[in-house]
Amino acid sequence: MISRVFRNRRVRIGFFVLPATAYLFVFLILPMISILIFSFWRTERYVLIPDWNVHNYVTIFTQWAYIKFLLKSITMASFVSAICLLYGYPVAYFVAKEGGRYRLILLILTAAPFFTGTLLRITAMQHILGPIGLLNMFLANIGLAPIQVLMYTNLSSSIGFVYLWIPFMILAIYLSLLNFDFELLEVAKIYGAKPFRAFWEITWPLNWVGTVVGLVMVFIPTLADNATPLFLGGMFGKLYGNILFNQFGESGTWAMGSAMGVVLFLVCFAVIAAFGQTINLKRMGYFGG
Amino acid sequence: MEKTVVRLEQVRKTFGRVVAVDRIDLGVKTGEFFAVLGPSGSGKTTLLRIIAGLETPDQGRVLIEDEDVTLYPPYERYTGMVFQEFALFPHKTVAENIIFPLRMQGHLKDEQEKQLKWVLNLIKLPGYEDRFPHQLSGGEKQRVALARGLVSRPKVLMLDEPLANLDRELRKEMEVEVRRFQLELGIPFIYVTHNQEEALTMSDRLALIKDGSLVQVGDKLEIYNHPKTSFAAGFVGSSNLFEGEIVEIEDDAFVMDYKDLKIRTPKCEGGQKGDTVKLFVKTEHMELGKQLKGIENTMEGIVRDSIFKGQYVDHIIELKNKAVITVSRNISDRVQIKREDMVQVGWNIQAGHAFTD
Repeated sequence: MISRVFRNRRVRIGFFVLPATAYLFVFLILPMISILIFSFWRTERYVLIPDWNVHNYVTIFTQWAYIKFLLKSITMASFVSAICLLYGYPVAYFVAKEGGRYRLILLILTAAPFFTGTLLRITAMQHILGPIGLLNMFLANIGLAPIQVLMYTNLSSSIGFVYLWIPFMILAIYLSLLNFDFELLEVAKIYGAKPFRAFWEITWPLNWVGTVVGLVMVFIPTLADNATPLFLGGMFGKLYGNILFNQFGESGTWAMGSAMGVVLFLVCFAVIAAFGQTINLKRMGYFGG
Repeated sequence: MEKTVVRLEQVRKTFGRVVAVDRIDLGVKTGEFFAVLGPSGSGKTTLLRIIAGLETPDQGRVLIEDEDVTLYPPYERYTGMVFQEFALFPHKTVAENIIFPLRMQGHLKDEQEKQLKWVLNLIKLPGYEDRFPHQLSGGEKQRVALARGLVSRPKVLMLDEPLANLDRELRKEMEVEVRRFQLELGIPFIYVTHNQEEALTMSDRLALIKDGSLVQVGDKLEIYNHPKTSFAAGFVGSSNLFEGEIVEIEDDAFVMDYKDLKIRTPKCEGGQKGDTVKLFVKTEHMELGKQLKGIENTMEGIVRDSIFKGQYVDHIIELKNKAVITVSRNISDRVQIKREDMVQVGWNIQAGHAFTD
């Protein structure tokens, strides 16, 4: 009886897809819809009032303070993504090409910091870069001045971000390189391409999709993060995420916070769409079409 | 005098404890189609990779046009290579694949266009410029790979089993094409294969390689008709192998005991009474008839099967001692033979090649 029902394609699809769909709906779609709705309300004395208006958005896009933090976060996320790419690509490349049977171990090692919590990792960073951190203590002990630029600055935030998200970048590029035919590089070299040229002509375009995944996976969490700037950024290191967090905390302006969240979502969406524009599957060696 | 384009001197390469190429000396001349024939794992691909600069030999020198390029990277050698798996750049169009060597060597756009047109006509694929490799058939892919190899007119073009992935019909066609390209351009080709038919069809000269060492190098007919070792005799052409003990030494022949049959073989150096001798007789050098006359080795057998091969027929003959041999006869052969017929097979002593190695 049950098996006969199960033979129905629709029933089968429903059985496998429904639970996940329900989960996503309740825990992702519903909250997002509610945030979208709240963003058009207003808050009065910590209470949301369904008084439909676009005031929150007007504020975000007209007051310099909001624009500034948004731009600052976008700049930070771009910078961190770029650094992760620069550091991550060679690592992923090395592991994929030369790792041999140690590939998996090497890869897991790059993700070793994940075995602890994010907050712990950031505090650990603080203990290295901060005024009484490892680095400056050492400098003080040998009679040198502490490195000011690493103490509670945007730079120290960005170091923290790179440290946090670089495993994503390495993983994404590594997975892409796993399917890459390194023999093509030999072909390119036989036909006159020097190593960097061969990389640029062959490896880079054929692994661009993986690279985009890595960039997005670093860009988006950086854009939304508030813990890292809180611990490492100091007084002047606040980012959009901190301001957003504030709306739901101290200031208790949920409606404003929701609007900021929607803007953040739109920026992320725009970034993904922009990267999507650069992807031409035919040009990346994918079949079909 | 013909110039030597590629010369290997005492080249040796090991991977761990495996000797891939063992002290090889080789010269490939201008305009020559040179085949390297050997079973898989014999080191023939490593040999190509050393010439291309993808591997550095542990010992010995590689010279291209009299220049010692042993330590040159691949991109400074101006060679070309065509692979079994085609190795086209999947993200580039046919045109982009083909002009790649020209771009890397800094040729001007006009020149690139001109050469592209020329080579597309050569490989008979004009109009294919904007296709992607995955839109091509196997044969078309290999043509494009050949075009990429030829477009910059390299000093030497290496081909690593280029037809192995193609079906039989296409392979026959491509054999002719590849040979045509080579003759038309006069670029020396080094063609690596385990398929003796390909090697014999296309090449001028032939090197036999086994376990990283050269067994015999020479004109293909020379190797075909006068193999110097039992490996060469067994690998080139299709032969029947008779192995047995020398029981008697005559003036101009050994007498071998082959499972109770007495067979006379040509004499070979160092053969003593009691030694084991291997005799190879090409299947097409054997005579077949109801009653053979004036042939030095004759024996009786039963036709077990006749396999039609096109222009010739392989007759499978079971001898009296239960050994099974193959005799190839031309399809126009007048002798009418049916399955289960009693027949005589025979060959003259000098048609065989005997070795005690």
